[in-house]
Amino acid sequence: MESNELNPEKSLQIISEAVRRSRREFEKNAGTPLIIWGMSILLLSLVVWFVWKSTDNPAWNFLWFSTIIIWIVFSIIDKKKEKKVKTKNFLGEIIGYVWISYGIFAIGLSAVSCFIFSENFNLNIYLSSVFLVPIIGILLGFSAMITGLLVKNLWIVIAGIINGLGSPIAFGFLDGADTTLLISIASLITLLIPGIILNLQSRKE
Amino acid sequence: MFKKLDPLLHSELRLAIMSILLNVEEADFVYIKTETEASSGNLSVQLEKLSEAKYIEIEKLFENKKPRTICRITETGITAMENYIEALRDYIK
Repeated sequence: MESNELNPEKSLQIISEAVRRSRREFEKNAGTPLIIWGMSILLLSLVVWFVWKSTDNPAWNFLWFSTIIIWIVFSIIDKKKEKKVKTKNFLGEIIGYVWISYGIFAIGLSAVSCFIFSENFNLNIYLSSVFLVPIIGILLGFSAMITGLLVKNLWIVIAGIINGLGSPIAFGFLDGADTTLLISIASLITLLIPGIILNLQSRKE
Repeated sequence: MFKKLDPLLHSELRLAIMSILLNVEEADFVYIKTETEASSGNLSVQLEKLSEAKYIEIEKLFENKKPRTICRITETGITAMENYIEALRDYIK
C-alpha cells in the first residue's frame, strides 16, 4: 500500500476494512479458552459427582478449589502467549475481565461458604456445596450472556440465559451429589459448545 | 461548505494505520506491515509522521534480544479520526 491521495468512498472503505480485520483477528481462536475451561470444569464436576455419590461424603467438594491451580497454569500459559501476540484487542481484554470477575466471585463464595452455614463441619460442607450450585450457575449464565453480547453470538447469549435461569429452577428437582451435575450441564452449554462454535466460525471465515 | 479533510489522514497508508490502531489497544510494526501490505521503509516514514503529529505513540523495546516496535493511538489521534470521519460524512451526503 502506498501513501496515495484518496476519495471519500475509498477512505470509508479503508476504515471499514480495518474494523472487519480487527474483528477477524479477535475471533481467531477466541473459543479456545472457553473449550479449555469447559473441559476442565466438566471433568472436575463429573469427578466430584462420582466420588461424592460413591462415598456419600460432601467433603470431596474441596476438589473444586483445584480450579485455582488450573487458573494459575492457564494464566502463566496466557502470559507467555501474550508476549508473542502482535496486537492487543479491547474486546478480548473486556471479556477477560468479565471471566476474572466470575472466577473471583465463584471461588470467593465457595471459600466463604465453607464456614457460614453451621458449626457442624460435615453439615456445613453439605449445605454450602448444595446451595452454591444455583448461585454459581447464575454467575456462569450472567458471564456467558455478557460474553455472547460482546462477541455478538446469539447461541452464547441464549445458553447464558438458559443456564442463569435454569440452574435455580433445576436445583429444585435435584438433591445432594446430583446437584453437581448442574455444573456439568452448565459447563457444557455455556463454555464447551460455544467455544467449539466460535472456533469453527472463525475457521470458516 | 465542506469541512476540510485532515491532510495527514487523507492518505491511503496513514489512514489504514490509524484505522487499525483505532480498533486495537496496541499493534506491533510487523502486524501493521502485514495488514497494510506496505514496505518497511514507507511504513516507518508514515509512522514517524503520525508520531510527530502526536496522533500515535511509538514504543521501541527488545524482547528476547530482538527489537520490537509497538504503536498505540493517542487521544489526539482519536479526536483527529473522529473529525475526519465527520468531515467524510459531509462529502458523502
